[in-house]
Amino acid sequence: MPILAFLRRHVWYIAFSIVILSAPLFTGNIYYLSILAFMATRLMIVLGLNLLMGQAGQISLGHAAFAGIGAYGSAIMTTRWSMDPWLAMLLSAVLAAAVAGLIGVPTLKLKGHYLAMATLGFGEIVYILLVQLKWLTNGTDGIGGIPSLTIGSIDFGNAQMFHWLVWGVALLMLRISLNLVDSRVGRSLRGLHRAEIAAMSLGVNTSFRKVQVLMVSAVFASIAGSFYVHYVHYVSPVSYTIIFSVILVTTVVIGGLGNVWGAVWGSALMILLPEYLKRYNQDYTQLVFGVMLILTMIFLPGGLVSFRTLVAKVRERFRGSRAGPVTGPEPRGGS
Amino acid sequence: MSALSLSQVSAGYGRIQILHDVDLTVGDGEIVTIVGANGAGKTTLLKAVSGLIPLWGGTVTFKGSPLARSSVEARAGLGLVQIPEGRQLFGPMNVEENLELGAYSRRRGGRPFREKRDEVFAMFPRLGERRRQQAGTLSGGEQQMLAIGRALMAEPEMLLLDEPSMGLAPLLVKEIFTTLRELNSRGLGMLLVEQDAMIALKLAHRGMVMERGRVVLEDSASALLDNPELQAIYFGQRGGGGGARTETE
Repeated sequence: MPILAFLRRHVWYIAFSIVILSAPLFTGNIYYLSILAFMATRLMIVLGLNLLMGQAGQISLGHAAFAGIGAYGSAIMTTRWSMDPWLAMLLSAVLAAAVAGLIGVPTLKLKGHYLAMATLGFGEIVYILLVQLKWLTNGTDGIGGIPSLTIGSIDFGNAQMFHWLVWGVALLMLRISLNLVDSRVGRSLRGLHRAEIAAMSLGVNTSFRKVQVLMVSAVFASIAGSFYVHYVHYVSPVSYTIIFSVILVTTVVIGGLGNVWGAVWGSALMILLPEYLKRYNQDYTQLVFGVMLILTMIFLPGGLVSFRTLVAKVRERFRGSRAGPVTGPEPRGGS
Repeated sequence: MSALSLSQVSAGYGRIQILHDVDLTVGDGEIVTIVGANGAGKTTLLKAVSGLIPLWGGTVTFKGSPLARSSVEARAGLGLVQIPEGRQLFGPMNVEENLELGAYSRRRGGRPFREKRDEVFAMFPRLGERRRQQAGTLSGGEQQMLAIGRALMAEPEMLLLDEPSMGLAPLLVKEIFTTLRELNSRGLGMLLVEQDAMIALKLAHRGMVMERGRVVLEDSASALLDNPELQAIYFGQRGGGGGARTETE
């Protein structure tokens, strides 16, 4: 029964897709739908960053800038040069990939976390450019009047239509990530993360692979940025500061480093929580994120997706059993 | 014709030169071992061959083509596969995934993965039993078996082995070396760096003794085993002064 085997293999992916895609059928509430849309664009960025951090073991502290390239690329090309939004999105993604390559080639040849330092600087440069290049970016005032996405007569300015579009793309990226992790390339990335010399002597071109995954994650982030601005019709530099980059890294760790599904749960939590906290006091958000990050690293090193491991550990402690230690799940995504 | 040949190779780290004008050949299907005390430059030599460190001078050729400019992964693609010191397994990945990564470089005319994997499992049945187990949780002997198996998945024409006996019980060392002999009888050439000179020379066809980055003695393995001077220095026999002792932990 190949169909049954297929269903069993992809049960979580299928279930998640059905639930998320049917959401607009149950609510037409613009606020709820917008939160779900932001969750989708956040997920796109986090999926890419999760591949980079969890699989290849490299940290980017400038991922907000890649999203910013997509956002501003789309905004500038569509409002100033009246370009087709889809073409603008594509060109922005190409630009993000090219920039990622430029940063990655020199830094990823080196061992250690040089990429983190380089991207930290890169993120700041992009932010300064967004603020200072007023003739192009309109400075801190930002750019408004960004058109909605359309295909023929379908207008994705409609919240429900946009939901299906943005989640369709996010689900596609989720599928790509799941497949990648379980492929020859994914294994080579995890391998070079754990034992770079061994990976090299088995024929893995480690620096090429690392640059490649950085470029993929930059493209994911750029596309997310483009979708975002076509939805809110406005962009300003404050969305793309170092703080956002740090929040993205936090999301990856809290969700589950190296686990593709961790990106889903992490994104959901990190979008919903601030919305909830906003009702009390905006300033709590950073504090809560910080505390959550610390607690995650102490008690849930595998992230939210390893919750079962924590439950097992606690249960074991209460029983005082002498069973062997519970090992965490492998850092990889199931299907 | 020799498969691997080094001529006047010198190399080092930073400003410190380790290897001085090393000449070495390994023929097709031949096992050559490099023995010597700690710090003699054995591992450095292996790194120079596999490309992990650049050459300062001299040439390395493999199957007739010069390697000086090829990367580590390109050399692996040519069939020159290193089993690094300390095994370097992909710890959180399971046995089968380690083997899959071993078959990473799809060499032209390569055999299908399953066929190679089953061959490795036939050679090391214990790996077959533990195919879903995380590599990091295997015992030392099993880990060394996996390191060898993983290298075999790359369909090597010559293995570069760095201290395969390290950290293993004598019985396991014996088992590993029996396997190496079996692999060699199928035509696989090896360049073997080993502190346990006795067991290495028993396996090898030829041996080289290194001291302070130079080859000081080169002979057939059996002749080296009988060499009284060498016995005194390296095998810790009566009359022997300092020098490395055989590793037996």
